[in-house]
Amino acid sequence: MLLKGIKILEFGCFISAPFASKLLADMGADVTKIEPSNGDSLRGIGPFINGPQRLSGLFLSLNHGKKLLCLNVESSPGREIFLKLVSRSDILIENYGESYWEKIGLPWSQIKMENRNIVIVSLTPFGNKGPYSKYHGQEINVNALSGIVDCIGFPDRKPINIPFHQAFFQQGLNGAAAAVFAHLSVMNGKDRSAVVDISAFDVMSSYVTTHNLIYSTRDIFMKREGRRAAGSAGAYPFTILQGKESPIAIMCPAVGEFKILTEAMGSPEWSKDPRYQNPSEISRHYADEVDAHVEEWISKLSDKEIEEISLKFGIPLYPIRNVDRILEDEQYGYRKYFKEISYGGNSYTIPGLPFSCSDIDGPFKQDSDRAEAEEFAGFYPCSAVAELLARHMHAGRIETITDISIGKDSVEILKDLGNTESSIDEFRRHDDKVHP
Amino acid sequence: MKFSNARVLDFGWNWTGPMTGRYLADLGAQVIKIESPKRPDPIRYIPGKKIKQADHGLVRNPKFETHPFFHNVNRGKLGFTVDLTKVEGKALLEELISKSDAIIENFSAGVLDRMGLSYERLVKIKKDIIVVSMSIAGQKGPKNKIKGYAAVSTGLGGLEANIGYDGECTGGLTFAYGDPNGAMFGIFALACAFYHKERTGKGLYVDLSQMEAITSLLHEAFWLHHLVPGELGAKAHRGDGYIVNDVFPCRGTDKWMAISVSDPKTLIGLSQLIPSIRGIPEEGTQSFRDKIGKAITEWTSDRVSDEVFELLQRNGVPAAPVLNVNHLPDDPHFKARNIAEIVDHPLVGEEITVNLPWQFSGYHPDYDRAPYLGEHTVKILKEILSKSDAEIEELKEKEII
Repeated sequence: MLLKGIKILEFGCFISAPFASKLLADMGADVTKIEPSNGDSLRGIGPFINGPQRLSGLFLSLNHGKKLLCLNVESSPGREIFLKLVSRSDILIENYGESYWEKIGLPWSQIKMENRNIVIVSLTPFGNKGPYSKYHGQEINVNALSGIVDCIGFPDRKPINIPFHQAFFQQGLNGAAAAVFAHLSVMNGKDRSAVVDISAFDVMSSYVTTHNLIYSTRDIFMKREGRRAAGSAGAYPFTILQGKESPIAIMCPAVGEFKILTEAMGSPEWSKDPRYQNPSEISRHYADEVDAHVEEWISKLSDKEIEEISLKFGIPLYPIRNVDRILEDEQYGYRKYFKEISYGGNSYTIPGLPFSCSDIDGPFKQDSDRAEAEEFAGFYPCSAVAELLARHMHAGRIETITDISIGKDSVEILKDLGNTESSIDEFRRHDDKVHP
Repeated sequence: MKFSNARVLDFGWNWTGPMTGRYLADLGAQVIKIESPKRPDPIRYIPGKKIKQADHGLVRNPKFETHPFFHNVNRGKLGFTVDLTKVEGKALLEELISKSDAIIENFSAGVLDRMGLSYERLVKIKKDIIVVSMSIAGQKGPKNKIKGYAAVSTGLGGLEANIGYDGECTGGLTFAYGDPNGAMFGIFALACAFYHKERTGKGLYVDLSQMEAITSLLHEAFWLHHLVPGELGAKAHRGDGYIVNDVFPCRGTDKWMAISVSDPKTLIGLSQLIPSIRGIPEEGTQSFRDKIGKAITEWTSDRVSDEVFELLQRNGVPAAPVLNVNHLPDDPHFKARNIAEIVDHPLVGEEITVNLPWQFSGYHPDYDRAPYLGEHTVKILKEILSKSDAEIEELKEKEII
């Protein structure tokens, strides 16, 4: 567990902050997630798993492996408990924004007073400073403003967003990395405490602005052009063409790669046309014509043939595929990429981390679930064991979740903070849930 | 204030690898870009801007120093050239490795091994070295030879197939998401490795796959696959969790407003601006969403984008105009957040440089421009490897550096 010993307090909802602390938990950090009594809003967003309780799949993905505390930080006992937790944590990850904390009487200055070494990672759509900092933003608004939406779709039709809340996932990834760097800096005494303000808009617009330097330097206006990257980014081809079975992504930016592509096609007559000798010239004037030639060739090739050609000639030319095929992909299986989660009697495969770690003592276990899975398999009837082991081979890691309800660990956490049974009963008074 | 004191050898080329090194340089690390004097980073070969000012003696070949993109993803690094096909060159590099903390590379799988720099070998040179390899598919396995760029990692990783209009996949190649995403996962892995080293004194080998790095962002796609058969694939907008989540036309040509409504309170805010919404029976169905969409379109179509943006935000409705990236530098928020700055490059003049999108309280990164090819080779030989002038002359004569 690489991040063993780091204590994270998450006050987050939906995707950005929960994904940040999920990544840190995957690497071994100890995460306590605080939810209000009506829960993280993501709990209400489907698709849902019908198990012991109706459960949001995405909520399960992003929040398993965390301790869950139900707390009303806007009440006075809630605030007190929150500050006690702050004093025992290294990093606070939140996505409500600085003004929320001021409004409820818990300004960051007070949080820093409670723990002078705390790192605060604040993940909001537009950030805590700047003219739009108070603006309301969902993911599509962030991507629209950052220039990404204008890049996607056909030129004569409306622009569209990229799917699956990329701005918030990307923000979470940035937040996780920044949290560890800031914590290291505090650990080394370079800094007493640190506040990191990462807006989803900053992240996405910084990516797209960087890539635009390729386009703008070539006088190409970076804008949606259907399946083709704007102006082929100045080096033909950079597009998606239809293969026999799947759409094929094809990109040859390096010097000589287009030539190799035509060789892979058997150097057809058209490729000797003097107009088609320079990929930059093709991108400017002949992309449609050459697309037609290339697509004629590609449309006859199966995905397997495409992959073979790509490997043989060393050119980037691959089928576009969806989750169903990724789940069967032998490379992902070999790398034990997937994570298996079991809930309500069913198992679900979800994405894992995209890297493996080893040190001089050998491969590193990113979490200890694998050993548990082996133990767990021992109690199952034979066919189930076989199935589970097969899955285990495939996934590398398996985790069984029995309870992921709001405040499932409240009592344990409150006791750990020194609360007595009677004071916990006091918190429980209004209903059967414990939420100070 | 510095977040890293590490010395990092950056073997990266193109985008993902160099971007990872660039972010580390922003965080304070001393990042040394290692290049072959004969076959430097391919991005150097792309013709960039016209050279405005005369060579000031540090530049070996001006044509390698003209691209703002190269300047960006290599900002703040030191430049070191060494010919690794020569025995003395390899020895020199090993000497430098012995004085470094981390190595970043994004060659095709196995290239580092073939250079004689496998992790097993590297730990013999420097016991606690951190190595981050970032190929498309990972170093080992049946498809480790997959070669590619962003379009390959996003295509194979499962994102592109889900971008497009209903049932009509366009992909989103223009954005080239795979590269910065791979770099950011690389930075996350490095952060974990630095912490591990701080705590245990041990180095780490990280084998990252860029296509997996895309898949790791697709949790929602996995749940659709498991729970809602037939929902995957290109969809202009997905309904789950939203009443409205789409772009709407504003007055003018190709002007659009992204509007998102996910709760009843926001819907009330919207209906204060567009009263006709109140009459639509609240069913939560697709037809309900379509009718609201139609009402919004009627309202936005004859208003200019600025007005729509302001009115919606004032009424608590998440909204933002669809901006073109070329117009971002004029946006007041983009400016205030200091996401990018104009800098003056000594050879090509003014150009945009993009900052690490993390705002640390009281911290502004201090950076130098990207190094010219091999610009700091002599400085590094003197200051880090304590070579004498005579030794350096000999290395130059033998064309090792």
